[in-house]
Amino acid sequence: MFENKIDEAPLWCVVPLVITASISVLLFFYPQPFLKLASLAVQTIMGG
Amino acid sequence: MTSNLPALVIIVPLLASLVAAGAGWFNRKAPFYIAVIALLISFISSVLLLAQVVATGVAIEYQMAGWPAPVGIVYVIDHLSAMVLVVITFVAFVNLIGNRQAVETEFKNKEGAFNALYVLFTAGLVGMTATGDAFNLYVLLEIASLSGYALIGLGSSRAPLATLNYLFLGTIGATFYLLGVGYLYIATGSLNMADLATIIPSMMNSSTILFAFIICLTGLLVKMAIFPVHGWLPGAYSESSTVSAGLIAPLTTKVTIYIMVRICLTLFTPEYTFGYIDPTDIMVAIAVASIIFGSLSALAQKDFKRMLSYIIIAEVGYMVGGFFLGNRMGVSGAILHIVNDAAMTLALFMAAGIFIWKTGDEKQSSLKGLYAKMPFTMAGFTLAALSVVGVPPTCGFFSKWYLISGGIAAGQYLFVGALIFSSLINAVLFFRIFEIALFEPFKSHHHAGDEEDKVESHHGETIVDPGVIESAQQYSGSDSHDHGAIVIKEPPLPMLVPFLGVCVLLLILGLYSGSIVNNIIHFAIPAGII
Amino acid sequence: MSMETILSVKPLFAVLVSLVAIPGIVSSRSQNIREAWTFGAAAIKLLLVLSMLPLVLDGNVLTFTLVQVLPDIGITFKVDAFGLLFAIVASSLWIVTSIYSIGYMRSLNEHSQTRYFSFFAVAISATIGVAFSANLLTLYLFYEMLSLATFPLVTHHQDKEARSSGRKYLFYILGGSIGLVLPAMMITYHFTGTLDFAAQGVMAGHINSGLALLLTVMFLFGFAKVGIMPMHSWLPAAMVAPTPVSALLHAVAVVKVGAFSVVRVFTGIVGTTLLSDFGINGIVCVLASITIVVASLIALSQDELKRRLAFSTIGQLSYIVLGIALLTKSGMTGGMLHIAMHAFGKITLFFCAGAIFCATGIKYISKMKGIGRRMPITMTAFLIGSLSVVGFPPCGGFISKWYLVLGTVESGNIAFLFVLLGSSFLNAAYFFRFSTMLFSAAKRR
Repeated sequence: MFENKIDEAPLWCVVPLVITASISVLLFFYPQPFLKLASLAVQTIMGG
Repeated sequence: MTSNLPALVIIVPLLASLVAAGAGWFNRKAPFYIAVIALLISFISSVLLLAQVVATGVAIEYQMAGWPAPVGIVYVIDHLSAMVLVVITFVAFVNLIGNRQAVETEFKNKEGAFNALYVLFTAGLVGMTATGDAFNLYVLLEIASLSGYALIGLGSSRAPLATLNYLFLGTIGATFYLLGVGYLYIATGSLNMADLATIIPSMMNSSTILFAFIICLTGLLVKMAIFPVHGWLPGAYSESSTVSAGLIAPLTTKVTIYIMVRICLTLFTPEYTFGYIDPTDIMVAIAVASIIFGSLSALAQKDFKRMLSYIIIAEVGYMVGGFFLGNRMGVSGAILHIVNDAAMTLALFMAAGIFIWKTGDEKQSSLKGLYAKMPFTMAGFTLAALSVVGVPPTCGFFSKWYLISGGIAAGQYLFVGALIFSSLINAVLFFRIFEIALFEPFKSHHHAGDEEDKVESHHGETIVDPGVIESAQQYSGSDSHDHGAIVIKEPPLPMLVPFLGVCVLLLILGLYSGSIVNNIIHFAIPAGII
Repeated sequence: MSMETILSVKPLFAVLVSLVAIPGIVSSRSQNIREAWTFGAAAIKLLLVLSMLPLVLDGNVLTFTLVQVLPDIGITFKVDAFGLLFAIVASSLWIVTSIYSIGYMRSLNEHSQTRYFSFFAVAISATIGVAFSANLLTLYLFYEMLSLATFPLVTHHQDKEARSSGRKYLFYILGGSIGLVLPAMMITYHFTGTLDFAAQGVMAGHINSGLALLLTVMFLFGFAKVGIMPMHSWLPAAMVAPTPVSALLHAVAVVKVGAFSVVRVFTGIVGTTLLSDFGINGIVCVLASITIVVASLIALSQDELKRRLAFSTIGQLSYIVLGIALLTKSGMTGGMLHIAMHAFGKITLFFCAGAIFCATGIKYISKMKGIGRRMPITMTAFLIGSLSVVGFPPCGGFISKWYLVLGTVESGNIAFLFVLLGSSFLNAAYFFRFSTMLFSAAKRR
């Protein structure tokens, strides 16, 4: 159906999705800022 | 000078109406300027009075012609009346300057009469608000009513009939009130409100007083057009010219509500109104009926001004219901809504004036494409509409807040439900207009002195008239490729600026509603009401 | 760790910065200058938000009262850990989406781009406003502002389809907020005398169990942006919007504002103690579970890519609600984390859907066979996004889902564990069947 030629969307479209995809992977290895904030929030609510 | 401010507020417009009527014979422009200056003086005096009352915390009593009360007529400027005075004079002033063009075209060769009536009407309302005498109030009520009938009668070809209708019901209402005052006089021998307030608690059980209360209230209810005695209002407001409607619609019902508050609290005292008679259930029921009827009827209207008229009937229900909840929250909400609703109604009727100027008729369907053609006007209109819907932080939200709080506190959940229902209906009403103005293409219309048809024939380029606000560049070029050339043509600045000013005021009133309630309304409600 | 309350105007500035940019956006003479305003505002906003991070991580809270609108309620901002988490997600993704908007809107030569960028700025302001609200009234104000600012974005195309979707959008969103949230808020205020978000809620001791249940349900359905069934159907309809709008607003800002509001109200107003004492959380868990399962099933049958993503979002939002309503530490952590993790994954998917549409004009999955051959970068990103949304390592989505699963185990109610696992299986089915289809055609060559 599609030819073999690589034909991506404009650069302005591709760059953001590469960024967010990379962040998604990055967050697996470095979830700290969000994890810390969430634990902090939970601590205030649930105590301890 | 300062000690005569209370007199200035009313006498200046009263005299100006005489002068304006005469000046019309000599100069066609003079009456307008006389009216504007008179209203401005009256407005400034009102603001000074309000400032003074808020600063000192003491009501100002002014004896007309130096006769002391209770024999003479006194004018009493307290927190409540000072605030309403500011509202009245502000609306009258802004509406007049904002509609200058309409006045010139619609009342050609009648400038003297129109401006005189306009100022006289305002003077009547100002007097009604300031007076501390029950009979004097009737006299001023008639002054306002008669000039109101005349103003409305100057409208469209169907206006005289609508006026006649208004005149019949209005006269009945005023007569009822007069009758009530008569009974009061028979029973107590006094017409001074403060004096009456000291007498009435001692004769709570008098059936004459009870009858006087009922009949006064009935008369006022007719005057404020609550359902089911609303019949005169939609015709009167929608057939009159926009500038008259812009004065009468925001003020008549609101000032009548004020009179109701004044009579019930100052004259009959809260102990009598809420303690002895306790009309909460029946009055709230009437208010709920009015809200639901007004909202549903508005839904059925195709004409913009007619729709606004029915919204007013619903809003009257808000205030009457809120007041008769009898608790501090509800009464605060009703009084705050006098201010807020006056501003909202003014903004919407000024918008109606601009729409008529732009499209030449009053149908909602003529508003096609207006978002692209008049972005500033439509931004203001959107703000005003959202205020009526009750979206924070516009002022409409906050009066609704107090009213609903009062309803919950009084256990009147039907009233709470009606308020929510009416907000939802208002959302439908206005989003219906937003949709037309946003989605549908603009219907080309030829208007005298308006060259937009000619301009539109130049496809592919954008022409902005000189003197019209320049903000077209973002709509030019490829941005508007599928809409053809969109020509932005806002109304002239003297028309646009006052309108936008009122719209911004809706936000300011909303954000500062806390201060208004704490510094003014709080002191306007007797301590007995919790 | 000492909790300190610091008075700071930063939250106010963070909210206002995008609004302030609007006159600049509107009056710009060229597209590039206009976009520069957007980027400037977005960058400043992100920096402002991030600058509060160290303070908040130390356990401090920043507050600022703009104006006292009611005797004891002000328009007040408060930055705590949860609010900041959401604000970081929203403001960082605004920058990315702005880049994407430029590519998408310009390449499709969309009309009224100025209006588009302006309302986008309003929407982001409102989102940050919700994140930083100190009380329910302030939250409601910004929630409504977001609803209204999104309307012109959803109906951007101004055609019949946009109009009917716009109606649906308003019907659910405004109907919910005016018809349910407003009265619930006022009743809460009447009985408790406050609307401030407190750590343990404000209802306990003031409101009986029946009313608490009623109010909780009113809030849950009233915040229709969270899309608990049956208040969900505006979301698929809103997919008529340009893809960047769907991406930021309907994967991140709008829907997460719904989830955020629900979490805030459940924890800060209703209170966890009351939720568990009256057993209300069980009912909420069931409602969320139904939504999760049904939405996942519907998503399977959608052929239009954006609609499939929309139904996936509906399910994922209910994960957040479920996580909170489990009332266990892990569950709540998972729910809050999911706001962030799902945002990055789902926005990637929307970006990909838009990129496919930009490059090929195709909207339907059935026509996308072998597209991985033509757009390898996009499709790789799509695969990563799906992995994250489904919750596979090595993606952020795994972390939040892990906590959610732990939460169900901690709660001792295994039924909800099966809901999570079952729906993940369905998610995997609808994403990977699709992904393999895209690449399998590539192998055939």
